[in-house]
Amino acid sequence: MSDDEIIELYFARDERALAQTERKYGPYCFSLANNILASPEDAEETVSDTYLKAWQTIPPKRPGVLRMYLAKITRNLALSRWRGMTARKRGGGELPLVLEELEECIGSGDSVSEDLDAKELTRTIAAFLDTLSQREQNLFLRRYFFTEDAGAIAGRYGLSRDAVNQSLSRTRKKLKAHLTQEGYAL
Amino acid sequence: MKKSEVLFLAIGGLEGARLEATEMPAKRARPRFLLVAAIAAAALLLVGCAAVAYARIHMTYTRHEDVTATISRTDDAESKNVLTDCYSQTPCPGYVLSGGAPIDRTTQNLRYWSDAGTLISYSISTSHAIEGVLAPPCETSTVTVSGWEATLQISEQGGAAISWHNETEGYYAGLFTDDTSADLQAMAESVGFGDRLPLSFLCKNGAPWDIWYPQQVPEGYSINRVSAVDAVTIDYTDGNSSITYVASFRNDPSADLGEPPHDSCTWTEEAVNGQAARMMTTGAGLRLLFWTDTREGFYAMLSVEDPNVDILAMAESVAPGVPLEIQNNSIGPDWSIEMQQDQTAYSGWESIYPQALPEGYTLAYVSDRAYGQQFIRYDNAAGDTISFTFYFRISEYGLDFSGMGTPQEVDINGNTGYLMDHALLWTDAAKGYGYSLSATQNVDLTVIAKSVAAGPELTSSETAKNEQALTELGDYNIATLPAGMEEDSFTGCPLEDGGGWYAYIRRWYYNRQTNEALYFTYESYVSDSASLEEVVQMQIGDARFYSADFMTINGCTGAASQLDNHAKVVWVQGTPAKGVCFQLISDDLSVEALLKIAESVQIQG
Repeated sequence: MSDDEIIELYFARDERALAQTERKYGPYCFSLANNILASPEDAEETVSDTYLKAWQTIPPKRPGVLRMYLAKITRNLALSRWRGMTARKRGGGELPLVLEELEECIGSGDSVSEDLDAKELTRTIAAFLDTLSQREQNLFLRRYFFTEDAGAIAGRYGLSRDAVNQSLSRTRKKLKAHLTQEGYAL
Repeated sequence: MKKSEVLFLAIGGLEGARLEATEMPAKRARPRFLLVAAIAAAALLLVGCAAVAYARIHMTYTRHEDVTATISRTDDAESKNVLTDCYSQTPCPGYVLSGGAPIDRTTQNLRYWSDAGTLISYSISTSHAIEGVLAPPCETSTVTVSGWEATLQISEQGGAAISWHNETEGYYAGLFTDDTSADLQAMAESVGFGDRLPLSFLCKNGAPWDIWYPQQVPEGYSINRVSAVDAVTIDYTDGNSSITYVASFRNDPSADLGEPPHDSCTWTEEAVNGQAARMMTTGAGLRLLFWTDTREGFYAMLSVEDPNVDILAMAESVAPGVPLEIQNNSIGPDWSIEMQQDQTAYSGWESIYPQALPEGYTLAYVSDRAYGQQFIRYDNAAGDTISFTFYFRISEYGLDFSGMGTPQEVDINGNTGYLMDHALLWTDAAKGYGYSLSATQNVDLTVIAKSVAAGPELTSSETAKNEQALTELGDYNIATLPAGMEEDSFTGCPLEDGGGWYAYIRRWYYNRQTNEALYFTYESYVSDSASLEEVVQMQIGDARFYSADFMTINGCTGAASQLDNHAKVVWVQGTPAKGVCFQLISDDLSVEALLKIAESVQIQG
C-alpha cells in the first residue's frame, strides 16, 4: 500500500492505517528505536507508542514523507524513554555516545528554554547543513538523526569507518563554529 | 535538559525531505518524488459559533464550515466554487483525471495518472499556500502562471512542483509530479473554471464514474461508509460483521496481499459472471474474492467475515445502481461542543440519574463515581441499551464532543441541550452539572433527560473489584481530613485487572463550602530503580520540573513538591523493586497541609 493510501486511511479514521503502518514501517521504526535504546523491549514499546502518536496527530497533520514522520516520532519518544531510564539501564545504545559527541558542538550545560532553543536551533542547523556537501550532510544526519554507528554508516555509503569518523569530526568542528557565531554560547 | 539533548531534538526537527535524502541508495533505479503537498495544519473556518454561558457550567457549540460553501471571491460568487470548479482544463499530454477528494475543509486535491503509472497531483486551497518540497538539491525559479508570480522547483533527483496564488479568485494552487517530462507550467496555465466536479469521486476515462457496486446485499447489512481515493471502497455492516467492497481502475487489490503464510489460508478458483476469479480463505474464516469486471474494466474485491454470506452472489450482482454519496470523512467533524465548568464553583456528587425510562429497560451497570463523572447503563431484553453519563466535576481542560450532521437545539427543563442521532448532551445551569444520554435504538431521549433528578443512591457494579483491591493493597484512609471535606468519589483496580502486578485505590475529597479538592491514591509498583528515592522521584515527576524535597513521611521514604499551586506529597512502602506508593495531590491545599494529612493516613481494620 502506498504512503498516500495509508495516510488516507488515517484521515478516514480507519484502523487499518495502524496495521498497514506496522506492516510497512514497523521494522524500520524498531531499528531506529533500538539504536537509541539498545533494549528490544523498550524499543518495541516505543514503536507501539509511535503508532498511537501517529493516530493522534494524523489528521490534522498530513505528513509529506510518512516514513520520516514516523521516524521523528519514534526518535522523540525513544529519547523521552531513554531519559526516563535509570542510569543503570542507560548503559548501552548509541545515544550516550551521540550526545557526548554533540556536547563538543554546544557544550555540556543545561538549557533553560528547550522548546524555543530547539526550534531556533533547527533553523540554524538547517542553514549550516546547506553549507556542507551532500555526502557530509548525509553522514551527519545518519549519525545524529538516525543514531547509527560509524560502521553502519560506512557500509551504507561504501566508505571506511575512519573516513566516516574523520568526516563527522570535521563537521562537528564546523558546527561548533557555526553555533558560536550564531550566539549559542558554549 | 542537557544542551546536547536539545541539539539532538533540534536535529529531529529538520525537514523530512532532507532526512529522506540520506536514505537514497547509491544506485537509484528511479528518482522518487518526495512530497505531494505540504500544507499547514488546517485551521477550521467557522461559519457559525454559538455560545451559551451559565454561571457554573457552559457549552460552546461550534459549527464547522461546509466544504462546499467555500466560494469564489468574484462577482459571480453564486455560481462558482473554486474547490469544485477550478482545475486544469488541459492536463499534460498523456494524463487523465482519475479522481479527487478534499484534504480538509478548504483544500481539494485532484489526481491525474498517465498510462505509464506517473502521477500529477493538483491541490487548490482557499486558505493555505500549497508548497512543494522536493528532494534536495533543487533548482528554484520564478515564473508566471496566468499573470501571477509562481515558484517552479525541479529536483535533480527527479520531481517538479509549481505553486502560485491567484489573488483575484482567492485561491492557492500547486501541481506536483515525479515525471520530469511533464510541462507543469503549461498545465498550471490551463487552470480555470470548468464543469463542476464532485468533491470526492473516482473517474473512468477522465470523467466522474457512476459507481458499480453490489446490488444484492445480504439481509441485515447496510452501507456504513463509501470512500474514494484511487479506488472506491464501500463498507457494509450488520452491526456485528463487516463486508468491504473495493473497485479500482488502476490497482489490483490482490497485489496488496503480499505473501501470507501458506498454512493459514487457502486459495480457490471461482467464477464471477463467467470470468475467472480467485478467493482466499484465511484460517479465521475471512474470505477475500478478487476478480476483474471486464464489462466496465475495473478490478474488484469483496472481503466477507460472515460465513453465511453468499459472496459469489454478491459479486455477481455488481452493476450500476442508485448514485452513492461518497463521504468526506477525512475532513473532520461537522460540529463540536465544548463543555466547561466554572472551576471556582465545582459541584459535589449527588445521586442523580434518569427517573423515567422507556418500557422494558432496567438498570444494568453503575460505574464507580470517579474522575468527576459517573456512568449508568440500562438494557432491555432485546439487548438495546441506554447510556447515561453524569459529569459532576469537569477538569480544567473541559470535555469535547463532536460529530457529523446537525444537532437539534432542544430545551431540557429550561436548559439548552443538543440532540443528535441517538445522543443528547445538556447541562444543568443551576447545579453546574453536565449530562449525556445515548441509545442504540430510537427512544425519545428528551423525555428521559427531563426526568433526570435525585434518587436513591445506586450501588456501583464495581464494588466486588474495589473490595478485592482494598484487600490486596489495604484499606488506607485519611484520619484527619480538613474540616468540611468529604470523600465524594472512589474507585479501585485489583491485581487481576492490572496484569497481576498493578493494583490501585483512588479517592477524591471535596469541600462544598470552600471548593477545595483533594486527591488521594495509592498503587502497587514494580521498578528497576536503585533506591527508594529514585522511586519517589519517578512518582513526583520529571526532576527538571518537579523538584522534590525528600523527607520521612508516615515513617516511609517520601518527598514533597510544589509547582505553582500544584502540591504533591509522595511516600513509598516497600523496596526499590516493588511496593506500594502513596500520593496526595491538591491544587487547593498547600504542601504543608498535605504533609499533615499524610501523617494521618492509616490502615483500617
